[in-house]
Amino acid sequence: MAEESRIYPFQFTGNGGEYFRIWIVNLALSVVTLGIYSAWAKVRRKRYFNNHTLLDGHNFDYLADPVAILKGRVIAFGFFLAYALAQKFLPWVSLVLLALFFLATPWIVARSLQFNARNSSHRGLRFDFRGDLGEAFRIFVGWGLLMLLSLGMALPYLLFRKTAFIAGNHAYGATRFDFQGRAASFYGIFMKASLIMLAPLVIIFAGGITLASLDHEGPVGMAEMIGALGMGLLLLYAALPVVMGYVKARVARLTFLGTRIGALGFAGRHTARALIGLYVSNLVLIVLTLGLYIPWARVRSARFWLNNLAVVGPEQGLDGFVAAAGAGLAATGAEMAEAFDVDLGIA
Amino acid sequence: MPFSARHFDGLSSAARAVRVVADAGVLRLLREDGEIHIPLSRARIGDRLGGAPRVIYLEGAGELHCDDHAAVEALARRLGQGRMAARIFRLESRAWIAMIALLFSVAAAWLGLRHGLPLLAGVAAALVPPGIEAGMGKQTLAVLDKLVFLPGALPAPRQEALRQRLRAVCLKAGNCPAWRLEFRGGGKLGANALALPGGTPVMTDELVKLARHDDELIAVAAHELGHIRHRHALRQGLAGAGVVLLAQILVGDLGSIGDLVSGLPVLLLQTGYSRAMEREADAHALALMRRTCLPPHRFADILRRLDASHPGSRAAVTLFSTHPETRERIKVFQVQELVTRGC
Repeated sequence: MAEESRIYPFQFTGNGGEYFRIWIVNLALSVVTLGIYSAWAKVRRKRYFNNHTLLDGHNFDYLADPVAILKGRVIAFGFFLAYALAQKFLPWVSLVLLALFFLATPWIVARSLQFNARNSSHRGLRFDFRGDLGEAFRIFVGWGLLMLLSLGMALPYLLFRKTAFIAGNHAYGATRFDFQGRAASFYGIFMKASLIMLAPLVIIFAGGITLASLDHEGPVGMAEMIGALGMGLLLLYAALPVVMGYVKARVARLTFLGTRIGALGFAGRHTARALIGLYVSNLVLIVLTLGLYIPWARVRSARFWLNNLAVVGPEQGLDGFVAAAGAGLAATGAEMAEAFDVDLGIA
Repeated sequence: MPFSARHFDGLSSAARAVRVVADAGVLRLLREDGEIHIPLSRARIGDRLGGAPRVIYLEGAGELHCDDHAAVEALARRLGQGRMAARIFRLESRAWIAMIALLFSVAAAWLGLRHGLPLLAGVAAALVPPGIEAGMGKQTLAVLDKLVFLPGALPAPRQEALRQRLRAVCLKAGNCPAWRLEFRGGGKLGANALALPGGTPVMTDELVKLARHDDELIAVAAHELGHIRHRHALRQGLAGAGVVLLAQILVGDLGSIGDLVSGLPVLLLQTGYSRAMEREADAHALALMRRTCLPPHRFADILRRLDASHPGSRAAVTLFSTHPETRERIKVFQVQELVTRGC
């Protein structure tokens, strides 16, 4: 950028208590209406987050039609019911359904991204997702299978392609996002992550050797053995949020660094340390409060991601984007993704 | 009452500060460089949500963002819009209502899972055609044959004799569902009997060996026919799927944490349902036995022997065991023994 540039910060203005009230009241209303209201509740929840997200002082919006979401839920509900019953009574049919679902994943993911993007807006302009179904198929089916075959060695590459697919195919109004990155950087992240994962294993191993080489009479006590194993297992569990936080923070950094839209770039200052702290404290509090902390946890995450993110752009402001012609979209993809818990993994 | 707002025209991302005046039939947006008129009929007031700025959607002319909630509320009232949304906003704004909603949700979840879902599953099961249920039964038997059962070693005449006996009892009692009694080697199951969907009670050879009187086996068959008559296998499958689905849809926010947390309650509920179903099947067996003058203690006898032949599934695991405490069930049949007279 030759010209002067300016930083436009994101800001999340929601608070946990307020979101808790919205969450629980809408949950109760969903119960009263035997689940029908849940589509409206979902729109309200999503809108709460978008409406309380400000960029340069202007909020985002969520415009989805609850009726479209309700339809999607009914379809996903039917499919899931068929699957659950087949699993119990007709295992062959359930395997066929599972294979069909696997093959449909790219479509579901692309539709879900599209539904979400087209129903999100900012400054009166809608977002869009224009990812190509063929590429979605290559990533989620082709590379997904390859990842399994390579025992995870292809995972960083898969994540790279996925990040490029998601970050590079969104559009704001008529302007497309662009993502530039290298697969090697993703491999770098995963190398370090596996080192963190390895530490507890090393400790177990070292513990074992120490026990074996200790000067003792008779065999090593069973209790010591189990103790060392238990410690190692505990460390392994403790390492999990650390590794997840590390990977997610680093991938987010790569994503923000590599993504541009028009003359704008992104600047994030999400540290792995802060994200790990967030994960661990959220998890502990959710367990201690039997799940009641979930709304606060969601608000805290939103605050972490948004308050540490900014758009870097030209001095004259963010007024220069224009609209594209857009159309409505059925919600089936999005709801299928939710019902089956497809992790879209957007940082 | 005029108010300030930010106008986005829907064509570009440019924000323009405007004063908004609601006149007869039109919304006037006053800008420094002029004025836009939009018919009031084209304005839709966005719902109020927390402390977020209000959005007014102007059909074909973009949207207005505004922080003056009182002014927007007044406009909404004037347009007769958003009454429902305003009510929901009021519900969401009060801490005591949130508390009531919390208590209500917990109570409703408990009652719904305990009583509502089995009821719904019963209704849904009634919609499943018997042909499909029979197909399910056939498939389940095929899987069990492959994974659990061994080929039956019971001589064919003995099998036929037992079927004949059950047929005679059913004819006399008159309330048996259609059935096809099968015999298999129990494998890991040992002495046991089960009811597959679609009318197939299965007895293991070990069970037949354990019985000291054929009426004991008839009593067990009557119990399994109770499961079949009430379509328990199908209902349990439906209820189990329902629990997972409801959790997903209602809470929605949980994502993968939810799966972890909802696993245990599902297990507990499943055992809860099965207990109720065992009781229902016992009641069916008892009614059948009384109607056909079979002494109820026959069922108690084989139950006691079954209990003894399955060590490890006794007192220590009563909380999780599928069958209600055996002693309790045996007592029911013994008490009935005293009142069963006139045969």
